[in-house]
Amino acid sequence: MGTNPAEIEIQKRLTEQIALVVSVKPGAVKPDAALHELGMDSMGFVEMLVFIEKQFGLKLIETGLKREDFQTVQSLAKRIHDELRS
Amino acid sequence: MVSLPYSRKKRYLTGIDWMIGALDHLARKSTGAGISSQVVLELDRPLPEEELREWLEDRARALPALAGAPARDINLAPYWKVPERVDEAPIDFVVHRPPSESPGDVLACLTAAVNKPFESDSRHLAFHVIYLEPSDRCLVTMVFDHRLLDARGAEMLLDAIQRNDMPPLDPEPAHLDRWLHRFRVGRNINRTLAPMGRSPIDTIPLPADLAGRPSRFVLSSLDEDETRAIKEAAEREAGYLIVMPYVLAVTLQQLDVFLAGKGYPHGSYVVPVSMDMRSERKRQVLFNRLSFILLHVKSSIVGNRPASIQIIRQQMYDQAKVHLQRDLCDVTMLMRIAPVSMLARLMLKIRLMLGSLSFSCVGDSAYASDTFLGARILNLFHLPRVPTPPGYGFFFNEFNSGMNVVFSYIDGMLTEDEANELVGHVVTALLQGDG
Repeated sequence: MGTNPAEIEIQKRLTEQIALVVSVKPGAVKPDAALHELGMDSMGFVEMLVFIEKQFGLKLIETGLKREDFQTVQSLAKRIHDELRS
Repeated sequence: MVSLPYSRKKRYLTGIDWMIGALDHLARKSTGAGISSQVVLELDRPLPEEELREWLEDRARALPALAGAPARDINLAPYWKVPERVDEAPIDFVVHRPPSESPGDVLACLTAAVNKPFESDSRHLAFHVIYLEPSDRCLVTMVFDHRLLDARGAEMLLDAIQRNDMPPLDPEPAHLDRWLHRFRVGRNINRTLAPMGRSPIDTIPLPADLAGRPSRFVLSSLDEDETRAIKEAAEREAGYLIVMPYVLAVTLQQLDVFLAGKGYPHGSYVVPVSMDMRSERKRQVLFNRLSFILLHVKSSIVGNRPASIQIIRQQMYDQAKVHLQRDLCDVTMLMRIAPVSMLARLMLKIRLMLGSLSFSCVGDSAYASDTFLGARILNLFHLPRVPTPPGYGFFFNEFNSGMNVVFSYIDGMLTEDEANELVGHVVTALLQGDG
Protein backbone atom coordinates (compact mmCIF):
# COMPACT_ATOMS: atom_id res chain seq x y z
CA MET A 1 0.00 0.00 0.00
CA GLY A 2 1.23 3.54 -0.73
CA THR A 3 2.28 5.67 2.26
CA ASN A 4 0.92 8.93 0.92
CA PRO A 5 -2.34 9.79 2.78
CA ALA A 6 -4.00 11.01 -0.42
CA GLU A 7 -3.15 7.77 -2.21
CA ILE A 8 -4.40 5.72 0.75
CA GLU A 9 -7.70 7.61 0.67
CA ILE A 10 -8.05 6.97 -3.08
CA GLN A 11 -7.33 3.30 -2.49
CA LYS A 12 -10.01 3.14 0.21
CA ARG A 13 -12.65 4.65 -2.05
CA LEU A 14 -11.69 2.37 -4.94
CA THR A 15 -11.86 -0.69 -2.69
CA GLU A 16 -15.40 0.17 -1.60
CA GLN A 17 -16.55 0.68 -5.19
CA ILE A 18 -14.89 -2.50 -6.49
CA ALA A 19 -16.55 -4.46 -3.67
CA LEU A 20 -19.89 -3.01 -4.75
CA VAL A 21 -19.35 -3.84 -8.43
CA VAL A 22 -18.24 -7.45 -7.86
CA SER A 23 -20.71 -8.02 -4.97
CA VAL A 24 -18.21 -8.90 -2.25
CA LYS A 25 -17.39 -7.38 1.12
CA PRO A 26 -14.72 -4.63 0.98
CA GLY A 27 -12.44 -6.80 3.14
CA ALA A 28 -12.33 -9.36 0.33
CA VAL A 29 -10.72 -6.84 -2.06
CA LYS A 30 -6.99 -7.08 -1.36
CA PRO A 31 -4.82 -4.16 -2.57
CA ASP A 32 -2.65 -6.44 -4.69
CA ALA A 33 -5.42 -8.71 -6.07
CA ALA A 34 -5.96 -8.56 -9.83
CA LEU A 35 -9.37 -7.19 -10.80
CA HIS A 36 -10.05 -10.04 -13.25
CA GLU A 37 -9.47 -12.54 -10.43
CA LEU A 38 -12.13 -10.78 -8.36
CA GLY A 39 -14.69 -11.54 -11.08
CA MET A 40 -14.75 -8.06 -12.62
CA ASP A 41 -16.17 -8.18 -16.16
CA SER A 42 -16.18 -5.61 -18.98
CA MET A 43 -19.30 -3.77 -17.79
CA GLY A 44 -18.12 -3.77 -14.19
CA PHE A 45 -14.80 -2.30 -15.30
CA VAL A 46 -16.56 0.39 -17.34
CA GLU A 47 -18.69 1.21 -14.28
CA MET A 48 -15.44 1.61 -12.32
CA LEU A 49 -14.16 4.05 -14.93
CA VAL A 50 -17.39 6.06 -14.64
CA PHE A 51 -16.97 6.09 -10.85
CA ILE A 52 -13.40 7.38 -11.26
CA GLU A 53 -14.60 10.21 -13.51
CA LYS A 54 -17.34 11.19 -11.06
CA GLN A 55 -15.11 10.94 -7.98
CA PHE A 56 -11.80 12.25 -9.27
CA GLY A 57 -12.68 14.03 -12.53
CA LEU A 58 -10.44 11.76 -14.62
CA LYS A 59 -11.63 10.32 -17.95
CA LEU A 60 -9.47 7.20 -17.98
CA ILE A 61 -11.70 5.59 -20.68
CA GLU A 62 -9.84 7.80 -23.15
CA THR A 63 -6.46 6.30 -22.22
CA GLY A 64 -4.95 3.05 -23.44
CA LEU A 65 -6.38 1.03 -20.47
CA LYS A 66 -3.05 -0.77 -19.99
CA ARG A 67 -3.03 -3.71 -17.61
CA GLU A 68 -0.13 -2.34 -15.53
CA ASP A 69 -2.16 0.75 -14.60
CA PHE A 70 -5.43 -0.99 -13.82
CA GLN A 71 -4.72 -4.51 -12.65
CA THR A 72 -4.86 -3.96 -8.88
CA VAL A 73 -6.42 -1.46 -6.50
CA GLN A 74 -2.88 -0.41 -5.60
CA SER A 75 -1.76 0.29 -9.18
CA LEU A 76 -5.04 2.04 -9.99
CA ALA A 77 -4.80 4.27 -6.91
CA LYS A 78 -1.24 5.18 -7.84
CA ARG A 79 -2.28 5.98 -11.41
CA ILE A 80 -5.11 8.24 -10.20
CA HIS A 81 -2.84 9.91 -7.65
CA ASP A 82 -0.19 10.58 -10.30
CA GLU A 83 -2.77 11.94 -12.75
CA LEU A 84 -4.21 14.28 -10.12
CA ARG A 85 -0.74 15.61 -9.26
CA SER A 86 0.33 16.21 -12.86
CA MET B 1 -50.40 4.18 -3.79
CA VAL B 2 -51.93 0.73 -3.40
CA SER B 3 -49.90 -1.47 -1.08
CA LEU B 4 -50.86 -5.04 -0.33
CA PRO B 5 -49.14 -7.23 2.26
CA TYR B 6 -46.55 -9.72 1.04
CA SER B 7 -47.79 -13.23 0.53
CA ARG B 8 -45.91 -16.46 0.08
CA LYS B 9 -48.42 -17.27 -2.64
CA LYS B 10 -47.54 -14.35 -4.88
CA ARG B 11 -44.42 -12.67 -6.13
CA TYR B 12 -44.91 -9.45 -8.05
CA LEU B 13 -43.29 -9.36 -11.48
CA THR B 14 -40.94 -6.54 -12.43
CA GLY B 15 -41.04 -4.67 -15.72
CA ILE B 16 -38.14 -6.77 -17.02
CA ASP B 17 -40.02 -9.98 -16.07
CA TRP B 18 -43.03 -8.63 -17.99
CA MET B 19 -40.89 -7.80 -21.04
CA ILE B 20 -39.47 -11.33 -21.01
CA GLY B 21 -43.09 -12.53 -20.81
CA ALA B 22 -43.88 -10.50 -23.94
CA LEU B 23 -40.87 -12.00 -25.77
CA ASP B 24 -42.02 -15.45 -24.68
CA HIS B 25 -45.51 -14.67 -26.04
CA LEU B 26 -44.02 -13.57 -29.39
CA ALA B 27 -42.02 -16.79 -29.70
CA ARG B 28 -44.99 -18.98 -28.71
CA LYS B 29 -47.25 -17.25 -31.21
CA SER B 30 -44.81 -17.53 -34.09
CA THR B 31 -42.96 -20.83 -33.51
CA GLY B 32 -45.27 -22.66 -31.09
CA ALA B 33 -42.74 -22.72 -28.22
CA GLY B 34 -41.55 -20.06 -25.79
CA ILE B 35 -38.06 -18.69 -25.12
CA SER B 36 -36.95 -21.50 -22.89
CA SER B 37 -33.25 -22.03 -22.48
CA GLN B 38 -31.08 -24.80 -21.14
CA VAL B 39 -27.99 -24.98 -19.00
CA VAL B 40 -25.91 -28.06 -19.70
CA LEU B 41 -23.52 -29.83 -17.33
CA GLU B 42 -21.11 -32.27 -18.94
CA LEU B 43 -20.13 -34.80 -16.25
CA ASP B 44 -17.21 -37.22 -16.04
CA ARG B 45 -19.41 -40.17 -15.12
CA PRO B 46 -23.03 -41.28 -15.40
CA LEU B 47 -25.43 -40.54 -12.56
CA PRO B 48 -27.84 -43.35 -11.60
CA GLU B 49 -31.13 -42.56 -13.33
CA GLU B 50 -33.62 -43.33 -10.55
CA GLU B 51 -31.57 -41.71 -7.76
CA LEU B 52 -31.13 -38.59 -9.87
CA ARG B 53 -34.84 -38.42 -10.67
CA GLU B 54 -35.79 -38.77 -6.98
CA TRP B 55 -33.26 -36.16 -5.90
CA LEU B 56 -34.50 -33.63 -8.47
CA GLU B 57 -38.17 -34.30 -7.74
CA ASP B 58 -37.66 -33.91 -3.98
CA ARG B 59 -35.83 -30.61 -4.42
CA ALA B 60 -38.46 -29.33 -6.87
CA ARG B 61 -41.28 -30.10 -4.41
CA ALA B 62 -39.53 -27.79 -1.93
CA LEU B 63 -39.96 -24.84 -4.30
CA PRO B 64 -43.69 -24.42 -5.13
CA ALA B 65 -42.91 -21.36 -7.30
CA LEU B 66 -41.76 -23.87 -9.94
CA ALA B 67 -45.43 -24.79 -10.40
CA GLY B 68 -46.66 -21.19 -10.59
CA ALA B 69 -48.13 -19.12 -13.39
CA PRO B 70 -48.54 -15.40 -14.17
CA ALA B 71 -51.68 -13.65 -12.92
CA ARG B 72 -52.91 -10.10 -12.31
CA ASP B 73 -53.68 -8.72 -8.85
CA ILE B 74 -56.64 -6.55 -7.85
CA ASN B 75 -54.24 -3.58 -7.87
CA LEU B 76 -53.53 -4.50 -11.55
CA ALA B 77 -49.88 -5.39 -10.88
CA PRO B 78 -48.91 -8.69 -12.51
CA TYR B 79 -47.57 -11.41 -10.23
CA TRP B 80 -46.43 -15.00 -10.22
CA LYS B 81 -49.11 -17.08 -8.55
CA VAL B 82 -47.54 -19.73 -6.35
CA PRO B 83 -49.57 -22.80 -5.33
CA GLU B 84 -49.97 -23.46 -1.61
CA ARG B 85 -48.27 -26.83 -1.91
CA VAL B 86 -47.23 -29.22 -4.64
CA ASP B 87 -47.79 -32.94 -4.28
CA GLU B 88 -46.49 -33.96 -7.67
CA ALA B 89 -42.98 -32.74 -8.47
CA PRO B 90 -43.38 -29.86 -10.96
CA ILE B 91 -40.62 -30.99 -13.32
CA ASP B 92 -40.35 -33.07 -16.48
CA PHE B 93 -37.64 -35.74 -16.51
CA VAL B 94 -36.45 -37.28 -19.78
CA VAL B 95 -33.64 -39.75 -20.47
CA HIS B 96 -31.77 -39.89 -23.79
CA ARG B 97 -29.45 -42.64 -25.03
CA PRO B 98 -28.04 -41.38 -28.35
CA PRO B 99 -26.84 -43.98 -30.90
CA SER B 100 -23.29 -42.68 -30.53
CA GLU B 101 -21.42 -40.02 -28.58
CA SER B 102 -20.46 -38.09 -31.71
CA PRO B 103 -20.91 -34.31 -31.31
CA GLY B 104 -23.72 -34.48 -33.89
CA ASP B 105 -25.73 -37.09 -31.96
CA VAL B 106 -25.22 -35.33 -28.62
CA LEU B 107 -26.19 -31.94 -30.09
CA ALA B 108 -29.30 -33.56 -31.60
CA CYS B 109 -30.39 -34.66 -28.08
CA LEU B 110 -29.72 -31.19 -26.64
CA THR B 111 -31.61 -29.57 -29.52
CA ALA B 112 -34.58 -31.88 -28.97
CA ALA B 113 -34.50 -31.13 -25.22
CA VAL B 114 -34.70 -27.34 -25.47
CA ASN B 115 -37.30 -27.42 -28.26
CA LYS B 116 -39.62 -29.80 -26.41
CA PRO B 117 -42.54 -27.81 -24.92
CA PHE B 118 -43.16 -28.31 -21.18
CA GLU B 119 -45.80 -30.92 -20.35
CA SER B 120 -48.30 -28.34 -19.05
CA ASP B 121 -48.75 -24.60 -18.44
CA SER B 122 -47.73 -25.04 -14.81
CA ARG B 123 -44.42 -26.69 -15.72
CA HIS B 124 -41.39 -24.44 -16.18
CA LEU B 125 -38.48 -26.78 -15.61
CA ALA B 126 -37.37 -30.00 -17.32
CA PHE B 127 -34.33 -32.17 -16.75
CA HIS B 128 -32.84 -34.23 -19.56
CA VAL B 129 -30.09 -36.75 -18.92
CA ILE B 130 -28.03 -37.90 -21.88
CA TYR B 131 -26.04 -41.08 -21.24
CA LEU B 132 -22.93 -41.50 -23.38
CA GLU B 133 -21.45 -44.88 -24.29
CA PRO B 134 -18.73 -46.15 -24.38
CA SER B 135 -17.00 -43.28 -22.55
CA ASP B 136 -19.31 -43.78 -19.55
CA ARG B 137 -20.13 -40.11 -19.10
CA CYS B 138 -23.38 -38.16 -19.07
CA LEU B 139 -24.81 -34.71 -19.61
CA VAL B 140 -27.43 -33.31 -17.28
CA THR B 141 -29.37 -30.45 -18.78
CA MET B 142 -31.91 -28.22 -17.11
CA VAL B 143 -34.38 -26.64 -19.54
CA PHE B 144 -35.99 -23.60 -17.96
CA ASP B 145 -38.78 -21.18 -18.74
CA HIS B 146 -37.15 -17.77 -19.13
CA ARG B 147 -40.12 -16.15 -17.41
CA LEU B 148 -39.06 -17.86 -14.18
CA LEU B 149 -35.26 -17.82 -14.39
CA ASP B 150 -32.53 -15.95 -16.20
CA ALA B 151 -29.32 -17.70 -17.25
CA ARG B 152 -27.31 -16.83 -14.14
CA GLY B 153 -30.30 -17.68 -11.92
CA ALA B 154 -30.51 -21.07 -13.62
CA GLU B 155 -26.86 -21.77 -12.74
CA MET B 156 -27.56 -20.71 -9.16
CA LEU B 157 -30.63 -22.94 -8.97
CA LEU B 158 -28.64 -25.96 -10.18
CA ASP B 159 -26.06 -25.14 -7.52
CA ALA B 160 -28.80 -24.92 -4.88
CA ILE B 161 -30.26 -28.24 -6.03
CA GLN B 162 -26.94 -30.03 -5.73
CA ARG B 163 -26.27 -28.49 -2.28
CA ASN B 164 -29.82 -29.31 -1.15
CA ASP B 165 -30.32 -25.68 -0.15
CA MET B 166 -33.30 -24.43 -2.14
CA PRO B 167 -33.58 -20.64 -2.42
CA PRO B 168 -36.40 -18.76 -0.70
CA LEU B 169 -38.97 -16.91 -2.79
CA ASP B 170 -37.74 -13.42 -1.95
CA PRO B 171 -40.51 -10.82 -1.89
CA GLU B 172 -40.81 -8.11 -4.53
CA PRO B 173 -42.98 -5.02 -3.98
CA ALA B 174 -45.72 -4.17 -6.49
CA HIS B 175 -43.82 -1.02 -7.58
CA LEU B 176 -47.00 1.02 -7.95
CA ASP B 177 -45.37 4.23 -6.78
CA ARG B 178 -43.09 6.94 -8.26
CA TRP B 179 -45.14 7.27 -11.45
CA LEU B 180 -43.94 10.77 -12.29
CA HIS B 181 -40.34 9.78 -11.70
CA ARG B 182 -40.72 6.80 -14.02
CA PHE B 183 -42.26 8.96 -16.77
CA ARG B 184 -39.32 11.36 -16.49
CA VAL B 185 -36.86 8.47 -16.63
CA GLY B 186 -38.67 7.19 -19.72
CA ARG B 187 -38.22 10.57 -21.40
CA ASN B 188 -34.49 10.53 -20.65
CA ILE B 189 -34.10 7.00 -22.01
CA ASN B 190 -35.95 8.04 -25.14
CA ARG B 191 -33.48 10.88 -25.65
CA THR B 192 -30.51 8.54 -25.20
CA LEU B 193 -31.80 5.85 -27.53
CA ALA B 194 -33.67 7.92 -30.13
CA PRO B 195 -30.67 8.22 -32.52
CA MET B 196 -30.47 4.41 -32.71
CA GLY B 197 -34.11 4.20 -33.74
CA ARG B 198 -33.54 6.45 -36.76
CA SER B 199 -31.28 3.93 -38.52
CA PRO B 200 -32.52 0.63 -39.96
CA ILE B 201 -31.94 -2.42 -37.75
CA ASP B 202 -30.29 -4.91 -40.07
CA THR B 203 -30.45 -8.60 -39.37
CA ILE B 204 -30.71 -12.07 -40.92
CA PRO B 205 -34.28 -12.30 -42.29
CA LEU B 206 -36.62 -14.77 -40.59
CA PRO B 207 -38.34 -17.45 -42.70
CA ALA B 208 -41.85 -16.45 -43.80
CA ASP B 209 -43.54 -19.31 -41.95
CA LEU B 210 -42.15 -19.82 -38.46
CA ALA B 211 -44.79 -22.27 -37.20
CA GLY B 212 -43.21 -25.34 -35.65
CA ARG B 213 -39.67 -24.32 -36.53
CA PRO B 214 -37.18 -25.42 -33.87
CA SER B 215 -34.07 -23.58 -32.73
CA ARG B 216 -30.81 -25.07 -33.98
CA PHE B 217 -27.36 -24.68 -32.50
CA VAL B 218 -23.67 -24.62 -33.23
CA LEU B 219 -21.41 -25.19 -30.23
CA SER B 220 -17.68 -24.57 -30.24
CA SER B 221 -15.83 -25.25 -26.98
CA LEU B 222 -12.39 -23.65 -26.84
CA ASP B 223 -9.60 -24.91 -24.62
CA GLU B 224 -7.60 -22.93 -22.07
CA ASP B 225 -4.85 -21.91 -24.53
CA GLU B 226 -7.36 -20.71 -27.13
CA THR B 227 -9.31 -18.79 -24.50
CA ARG B 228 -6.12 -17.15 -23.24
CA ALA B 229 -5.24 -16.19 -26.82
CA ILE B 230 -8.64 -14.48 -27.21
CA LYS B 231 -8.20 -12.57 -23.96
CA GLU B 232 -4.72 -11.47 -24.97
CA ALA B 233 -6.04 -10.28 -28.33
CA ALA B 234 -8.87 -8.43 -26.53
CA GLU B 235 -6.38 -6.74 -24.23
CA ARG B 236 -4.15 -5.74 -27.15
CA GLU B 237 -7.01 -4.31 -29.19
CA ALA B 238 -9.46 -3.04 -26.58
CA GLY B 239 -7.66 -2.75 -23.25
CA TYR B 240 -7.46 -4.57 -19.92
CA LEU B 241 -10.74 -6.36 -19.06
CA ILE B 242 -12.49 -5.06 -22.19
CA VAL B 243 -13.33 -8.54 -23.50
CA MET B 244 -17.01 -8.12 -24.36
CA PRO B 245 -16.55 -5.13 -26.73
CA TYR B 246 -13.79 -7.03 -28.52
CA VAL B 247 -15.93 -10.17 -28.90
CA LEU B 248 -18.92 -8.14 -30.11
CA ALA B 249 -16.82 -6.13 -32.59
CA VAL B 250 -15.41 -9.35 -34.07
CA THR B 251 -18.86 -10.97 -34.21
CA LEU B 252 -20.42 -7.97 -35.98
CA GLN B 253 -17.53 -7.84 -38.44
CA GLN B 254 -18.12 -11.46 -39.46
CA LEU B 255 -21.91 -11.06 -39.47
CA ASP B 256 -21.56 -8.06 -41.78
CA VAL B 257 -19.48 -10.11 -44.22
CA PHE B 258 -22.12 -12.87 -44.09
CA LEU B 259 -25.05 -10.47 -44.72
CA ALA B 260 -23.19 -8.75 -47.57
CA GLY B 261 -22.39 -12.13 -49.15
CA LYS B 262 -26.06 -13.11 -49.05
CA GLY B 263 -27.15 -9.78 -50.52
CA TYR B 264 -29.11 -8.81 -47.39
CA PRO B 265 -29.23 -5.17 -46.18
CA HIS B 266 -26.32 -4.51 -43.86
CA GLY B 267 -26.13 -0.86 -42.92
CA SER B 268 -26.64 -0.66 -39.18
CA TYR B 269 -26.70 -3.00 -36.19
CA VAL B 270 -28.39 -2.57 -32.83
CA VAL B 271 -27.43 -5.06 -30.14
CA PRO B 272 -29.19 -5.32 -26.78
CA VAL B 273 -26.64 -6.78 -24.35
CA SER B 274 -28.06 -8.28 -21.17
CA MET B 275 -26.42 -7.32 -17.88
CA ASP B 276 -26.72 -9.00 -14.51
CA MET B 277 -28.34 -6.66 -11.96
CA ARG B 278 -27.93 -8.81 -8.83
CA SER B 279 -26.61 -6.99 -5.82
CA GLU B 280 -26.68 -9.87 -3.35
CA ARG B 281 -26.17 -12.73 -5.74
CA LYS B 282 -26.73 -15.64 -3.41
CA ARG B 283 -30.25 -14.63 -2.44
CA GLN B 284 -31.58 -13.69 -5.87
CA VAL B 285 -32.16 -16.84 -7.86
CA LEU B 286 -35.67 -16.86 -9.34
CA PHE B 287 -37.02 -14.48 -12.01
CA ASN B 288 -35.15 -12.06 -14.25
CA ARG B 289 -32.49 -10.02 -12.44
CA LEU B 290 -31.15 -8.38 -15.53
CA SER B 291 -31.27 -5.27 -17.61
CA PHE B 292 -29.85 -4.19 -20.93
CA ILE B 293 -27.56 -1.76 -22.61
CA LEU B 294 -28.12 -1.04 -26.29
CA LEU B 295 -25.16 -0.76 -28.61
CA HIS B 296 -25.32 0.68 -32.11
CA VAL B 297 -22.65 0.14 -34.76
CA LYS B 298 -22.93 1.16 -38.40
CA SER B 299 -21.75 -1.14 -41.16
CA SER B 300 -19.36 1.57 -42.41
CA ILE B 301 -17.54 1.24 -39.05
CA VAL B 302 -17.83 -2.51 -38.53
CA GLY B 303 -14.99 -3.32 -40.94
CA ASN B 304 -12.64 -1.02 -39.02
CA ARG B 305 -12.22 -2.98 -35.81
CA PRO B 306 -10.34 -0.40 -33.73
CA ALA B 307 -13.07 2.15 -34.55
CA SER B 308 -15.82 -0.38 -33.85
CA ILE B 309 -14.31 -1.30 -30.46
CA GLN B 310 -13.90 2.36 -29.59
CA ILE B 311 -17.57 3.09 -30.37
CA ILE B 312 -18.84 0.09 -28.39
CA ARG B 313 -16.63 0.97 -25.41
CA GLN B 314 -17.73 4.60 -25.48
CA GLN B 315 -21.44 3.69 -25.67
CA MET B 316 -21.05 1.36 -22.69
CA TYR B 317 -19.39 4.20 -20.80
CA ASP B 318 -22.00 6.80 -21.77
CA GLN B 319 -24.89 4.49 -20.85
CA ALA B 320 -23.28 3.49 -17.54
CA LYS B 321 -22.81 7.18 -16.79
CA VAL B 322 -26.53 7.95 -17.15
CA HIS B 323 -27.51 4.67 -15.38
CA LEU B 324 -29.39 3.38 -18.43
CA GLN B 325 -29.53 -0.19 -17.07
CA ARG B 326 -31.08 0.90 -13.78
CA ASP B 327 -33.45 3.31 -15.54
CA LEU B 328 -34.65 0.63 -17.94
CA CYS B 329 -35.61 -1.51 -14.94
CA ASP B 330 -37.49 1.47 -13.56
CA VAL B 331 -39.33 2.56 -16.69
CA THR B 332 -40.39 -0.93 -17.77
CA MET B 333 -42.50 -1.05 -14.59
CA LEU B 334 -44.91 1.25 -16.45
CA MET B 335 -45.29 -1.27 -19.28
CA ARG B 336 -46.85 -3.85 -16.97
CA ILE B 337 -50.25 -2.25 -17.42
CA ALA B 338 -50.34 -3.69 -20.96
CA PRO B 339 -51.18 -7.36 -21.45
CA VAL B 340 -48.18 -9.33 -22.77
CA SER B 341 -49.86 -9.69 -26.18
CA MET B 342 -50.15 -5.90 -26.50
CA LEU B 343 -46.62 -5.30 -25.22
CA ALA B 344 -45.35 -7.88 -27.72
CA ARG B 345 -47.02 -5.99 -30.59
CA LEU B 346 -45.50 -2.74 -29.34
CA MET B 347 -42.02 -4.28 -29.16
CA LEU B 348 -42.41 -5.59 -32.70
CA LYS B 349 -43.33 -2.11 -33.86
CA ILE B 350 -40.50 -0.30 -32.08
CA ARG B 351 -38.01 -3.13 -32.73
CA LEU B 352 -35.16 -1.40 -30.88
CA MET B 353 -35.20 -3.72 -27.84
CA LEU B 354 -35.29 -6.79 -30.09
CA GLY B 355 -32.23 -5.62 -32.00
CA SER B 356 -30.26 -7.09 -34.90
CA LEU B 357 -29.23 -10.15 -32.91
CA SER B 358 -29.20 -11.52 -29.37
CA PHE B 359 -25.80 -11.40 -27.72
CA SER B 360 -24.20 -12.10 -24.39
CA CYS B 361 -20.62 -12.52 -23.27
CA VAL B 362 -20.19 -13.50 -19.63
CA GLY B 363 -17.23 -14.55 -17.53
CA ASP B 364 -17.20 -17.11 -14.80
CA SER B 365 -20.30 -19.16 -14.05
CA ALA B 366 -22.48 -18.63 -10.98
CA TYR B 367 -22.35 -22.39 -10.39
CA ALA B 368 -20.03 -22.49 -7.40
CA SER B 369 -18.98 -26.15 -7.16
CA ASP B 370 -16.67 -28.32 -9.31
CA THR B 371 -19.03 -31.26 -9.01
CA PHE B 372 -22.69 -32.14 -9.47
CA LEU B 373 -23.99 -34.84 -7.10
CA GLY B 374 -20.48 -36.27 -6.85
CA ALA B 375 -19.58 -36.24 -10.54
CA ARG B 376 -16.91 -33.85 -11.75
CA ILE B 377 -18.13 -31.13 -14.13
CA LEU B 378 -16.11 -31.06 -17.35
CA ASN B 379 -17.98 -28.20 -18.97
CA LEU B 380 -20.98 -25.93 -18.47
CA PHE B 381 -22.72 -24.04 -21.26
CA HIS B 382 -26.09 -22.62 -22.30
CA LEU B 383 -28.19 -23.33 -25.38
CA PRO B 384 -30.97 -20.71 -25.45
CA ARG B 385 -33.96 -20.39 -27.75
CA VAL B 386 -33.80 -16.81 -29.03
CA PRO B 387 -36.75 -14.38 -29.22
CA THR B 388 -38.26 -14.02 -32.71
CA PRO B 389 -37.30 -11.57 -34.08
CA PRO B 390 -34.31 -11.54 -34.26
CA GLY B 391 -34.40 -15.37 -34.08
CA TYR B 392 -30.67 -15.88 -33.71
CA GLY B 393 -27.84 -14.92 -31.41
CA PHE B 394 -24.29 -15.47 -30.25
CA PHE B 395 -23.58 -16.47 -26.65
CA PHE B 396 -20.14 -16.66 -25.05
CA ASN B 397 -19.51 -18.05 -21.58
CA GLU B 398 -16.49 -19.30 -19.63
CA PHE B 399 -16.10 -22.38 -17.52
CA ASN B 400 -12.88 -23.89 -16.13
CA SER B 401 -10.81 -21.32 -18.06
CA GLY B 402 -12.35 -22.41 -21.37
CA MET B 403 -14.72 -20.36 -23.53
CA ASN B 404 -17.88 -21.78 -25.13
CA VAL B 405 -19.19 -20.16 -28.27
CA VAL B 406 -22.85 -20.92 -28.96
CA PHE B 407 -24.76 -19.84 -32.03
CA SER B 408 -28.54 -20.29 -31.79
CA TYR B 409 -30.81 -19.79 -34.80
CA ILE B 410 -34.29 -20.61 -35.98
CA ASP B 411 -34.37 -23.46 -38.44
CA GLY B 412 -34.36 -22.11 -41.99
CA MET B 413 -32.62 -18.80 -41.32
CA LEU B 414 -29.31 -20.30 -42.40
CA THR B 415 -28.30 -23.71 -43.69
CA GLU B 416 -26.33 -25.93 -41.30
CA ASP B 417 -23.20 -25.36 -43.41
CA GLU B 418 -23.68 -21.58 -43.33
CA ALA B 419 -24.14 -21.60 -39.54
CA ASN B 420 -21.01 -23.73 -39.03
CA GLU B 421 -19.05 -21.52 -41.39
CA LEU B 422 -20.17 -18.30 -39.67
CA VAL B 423 -19.17 -19.60 -36.24
CA GLY B 424 -15.87 -20.86 -37.68
CA HIS B 425 -15.13 -17.39 -39.06
CA VAL B 426 -15.99 -15.74 -35.71
CA VAL B 427 -13.76 -18.12 -33.74
CA THR B 428 -10.86 -17.78 -36.17
CA ALA B 429 -11.08 -13.98 -36.12
CA LEU B 430 -11.31 -13.94 -32.29
CA LEU B 431 -8.15 -16.04 -32.06
CA GLN B 432 -6.22 -14.06 -34.66
CA GLY B 433 -6.92 -10.59 -33.32
CA ASP B 434 -5.55 -7.39 -34.81
CA GLY B 435 -8.28 -7.18 -37.46
